[in-house]
Order: sequence, then C-alpha cells, then structure tokens
Amino acid sequence: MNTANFAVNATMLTALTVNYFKQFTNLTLPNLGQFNLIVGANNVGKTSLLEALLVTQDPQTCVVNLLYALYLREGLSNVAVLHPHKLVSLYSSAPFGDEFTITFKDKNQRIVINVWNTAIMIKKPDMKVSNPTGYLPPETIEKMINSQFPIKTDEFEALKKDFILRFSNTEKEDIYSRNYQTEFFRKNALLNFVPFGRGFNKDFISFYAQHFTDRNKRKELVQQMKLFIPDIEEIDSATLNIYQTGSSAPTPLSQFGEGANKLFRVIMQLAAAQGSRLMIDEIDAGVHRYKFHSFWQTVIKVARHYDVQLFATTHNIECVEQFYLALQDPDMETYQNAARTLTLYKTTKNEVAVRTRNYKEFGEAITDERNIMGGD
Amino acid sequence: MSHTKLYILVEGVTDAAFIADLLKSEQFGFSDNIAKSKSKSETHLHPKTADNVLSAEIIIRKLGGWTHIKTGVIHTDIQEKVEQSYTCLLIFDADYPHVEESGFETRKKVIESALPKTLQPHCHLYIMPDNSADGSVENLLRQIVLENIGFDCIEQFVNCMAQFKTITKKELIHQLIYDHIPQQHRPPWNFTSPALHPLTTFFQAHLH
Repeated sequence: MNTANFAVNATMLTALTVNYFKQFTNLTLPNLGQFNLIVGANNVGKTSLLEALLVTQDPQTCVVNLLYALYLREGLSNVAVLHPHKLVSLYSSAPFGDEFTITFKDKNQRIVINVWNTAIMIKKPDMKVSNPTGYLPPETIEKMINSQFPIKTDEFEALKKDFILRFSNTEKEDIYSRNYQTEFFRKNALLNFVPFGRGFNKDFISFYAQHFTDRNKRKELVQQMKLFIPDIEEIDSATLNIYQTGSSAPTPLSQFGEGANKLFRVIMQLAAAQGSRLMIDEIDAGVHRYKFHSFWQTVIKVARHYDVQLFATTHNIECVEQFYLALQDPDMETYQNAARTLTLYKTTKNEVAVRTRNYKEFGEAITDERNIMGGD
Repeated sequence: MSHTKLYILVEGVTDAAFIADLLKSEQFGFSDNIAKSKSKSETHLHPKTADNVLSAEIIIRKLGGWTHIKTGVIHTDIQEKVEQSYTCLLIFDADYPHVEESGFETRKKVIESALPKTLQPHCHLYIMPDNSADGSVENLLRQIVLENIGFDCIEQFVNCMAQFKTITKKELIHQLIYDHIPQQHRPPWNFTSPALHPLTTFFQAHLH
C-alpha cells in the first residue's frame, strides 16, 4: 500500500476501520491521502464518516466532540435533553452492547468507546446512581474541553460555561429551566468540523484577531479572498469589516455572499486545525461552479501549509471535476499524489462500503464521464 | 416485484448504441433514465412505466476494448457493482481467428480465464455476432439493418478510408449510421429478425 509519501505530519491517517459507529458495521478506508473528497448517495453516511474522524482515544473527549458536532449540525433541538439511551442510539449500532470501535491502522491504535458508560459519566441529570463518583465534576469537564479546544475566543468562553453546566452533574435544574436560545449555541470554538452551510459566524473573529497578526499573513489572506471579493484591500481584525478599492466605508464580511464567508471560514479552520485533520461537510455549498478551480487550489495549498489532513464531502459533480482539474495545473502537480476520492455505497447486505481512488484513477473516471458519485 | 440490476459492458460506441436501441425497443420496453444523464461512457436505462412488473436498473458501459477484461483494469469496477447486487453482462466481439486471441472459441476462453474466480458467478458472457460464430457486431447489424440506410455504402467507405488513414472502424460506422439518420426516425434495425434471437434470449434470461 502506498502510505506515507504525502504524510507531512505524524497525525495523518493512511487507513482506518470503523465498526458499529452509526450506520457503519464494518467500514474500512484504505489508502487515504492528505486531501480526501468523499462522495456518495444521500444517507449513505458521508457526514457520519466525518463524525467518526472526530473520535479520540479518551472516551469523554470523544463523546463531547461528537455532541459538539451534533450541536453544530442541529443546534439545540437534538442536544437539549440528551439521555444516555439517546446517545447510544445515535452513535452505536453494535448488535450487542453499546460500543463502537475506530481503528487507526498505521498507528496500530484501536479505540473502543462504550457510549453508555461514557454518556453516564459526562451527563446524568435525570438518573439515580449509587455511585456518584461515576459523574464527572465540572472542573474535569472544563479541563477536558480546554485541552480539546486549544483555540480560545470570547464566544467560546461563554459557550464553555454553558457546556459544562449542560454535561456535568451539577445544577441540573438549571439545565432544564433555562430557555436556551439556539443562536447562543451556534457560537462555538473552532472544532475540527465544518457543518453544512456554515459560512459566517462570529466565532472566527477572535481567532482572526489573535492568529493573523503577521502582516504578510494578512496580505496573503486578502489575496486569497480576491477570489470572491475581487477589489478587497483590507480586513479589519476587530470587526471583520472589508475595505474595498474606491470605497471609504467598509462592508461587514457577513454581508458578502456565502462563497466569500465559506472561504474565509475554511482558511480560519485550516489554520486552527494545524497539524491535525479538518472535516468539512458539503464543501461546495455556496461556491459557484466557476470558482471551484481556484477555490480548490487555495484550500489545498493552505491545508498543506498548515499540515492539515482534509476530509470533505460533496454531492456536486462539478466540484469533483474541478478537484481533479485544479490539481492538473503545473504548480499543483506536487499535490496530486496526496489526493483521493472516496465513494461510499451500500452493498447488497445493506452495509456501507467505500471505493478509494487515487488521482490517476479518479482522473480517468472523470475524463471518461463515469459515475463516481455513488447512488443507485 | 423483482428488481434486476444489470451492468452491461460493451466494447465500443456502436455496441453501446445498438444494445441501448434493442433494450429500448418494444420487445424490452426500457427507456433512457433522464435522472442519470447519459455520459460518453455510460448509458442508464430503466423501465418505461413505473408500474411495470419488472423493476430494473441498467447501465451500459462502453469500455473501449475487450482487453480491459484481460488486463484487469476493469475488475474493481465490476466488483463494486457486484457488491451492489448488479449482474454483469459482458458483450464482446469474437473477431476472426487470423488475429491473436480472436475467433469465438479463443476469445471466449481468454475472457473467461481473465475474470477472477470471485467475479465469475456474477458475470455472463455473450460473444458477438451470435454467441457461436466468428465475427463482430457489424455482422449482426448487416443482417438486421433496414434497407434504406445504405449500410453497404457505409462499409465500403469505411474500408476504403482505412487504406489511407488509421481509423476506428466501429466509431466511424456508428457516426455514419447514427449521426446521419434524423432523430425522429426509429433506429435502423429490424429487432424482430431471427438473427437477433440468440442475443434477445440472452437478455431475457437475465431480465426476470
């Protein structure tokens, strides 16, 4: 197996197996690259695969990560009153027991998460237990969240407070009595997961202010943003207002289209995910077909710069075609051997399987106009 | 209602167009699956009517040559489709014995032995023109062509051209036949011809 010729850092995965996680009974992903584009029919499990990639060795952190991703996808509705039973039904599909397993083959690392036990440990406001030490105290949860999300923002601090309240054993009455506003929970730290349609949000303002202080770095970002805002001159760090040529009054980034906000978010999140992996759901959302080519080139270059392994999903054939064509340009050839497409499909046994194609293979399929998007 | 899924692998553009025409004829009653738009290498068909007793998905894939089976480059694609419960139909020319690995018996053996054992139960082979003789799809087309399209002229032209220029005969024949027949006309083939019986029987055996 061709493994490490792209691996620019030790955290990059070259293969993994997922057992009994959501709809994956036994899914093996061989021959991963640094840039992985995941395609497949509706409900085959593309987003679930992104979630599986959030799994970490520590069970509590792992489930917090998954809950956090659930937050980002669904807001409050599905997270407000999470009973351990619900957590088990959300994440484990084991015929017996409440476990799922993720195996990172090249790291010889097998992570077994017992969802029920973990759920009881991190949140048990409505259950009587004989051993109260089974709960995690708030300070432990805080420590855990701090270690998991090293990027701090004001909004994150506010969210953290609420998150601790929600998932610790204390002040459970508060959990039920407070009328959480969905908007409040949309403020979050930069988890290594970008859900569908998430362009602008205030969460990355602080990150930009804190981590893009270098003038050259800012200039480079302005150059990259010209793809969607051609006359952009400057980005105000405190407000994310955009100054454009010939106009003295700035315009907030949020007032630009989804494409501009999407690119800005992706660049921020790639920087935040430095040295690890980033999962982006429906990366094409908000991006016009004519922009895909340059969009991919920017994303790939920035991901390489920050040593980030990228996992993105799409339903858009033009996005896949441009993933191939963007890498054809002479200055992009060096990235070709790190590119993969992963087609998820359901087998006769109703299990999910994957077909991984390297650059040459998916290039031939695209050129030949064969369907590599899955679906039936 | 039974659900049949066929992955039909053919050599070239003429084969793909002809097989699609046959399956879209009254005998079989399929139509283009508009939702899965046609590409230069794949044609998707499904039953014309939704309440048909037969529910079926058909993909006709133009390979570009039977040798893709021999070299194995297509095996992973077949495996992927087999895992999704497709039956694979391989429809290739016998060609003539004076060329290496050609002629009905030889071609059949070469293709069958090239298929991995795990795929063999899911793959069924039909050798043109009639699953017993040497020749190619053009032999079959010659027997079932309606008179008015000048098939002889087309063949003469293509053979003459081949003396001066390297051409893909099949593609040129296809172009001349299909591109010069107005779209509103029916395909230029007599689908009730006895010469087609072996092929229609082959399809009927897998459409149930």
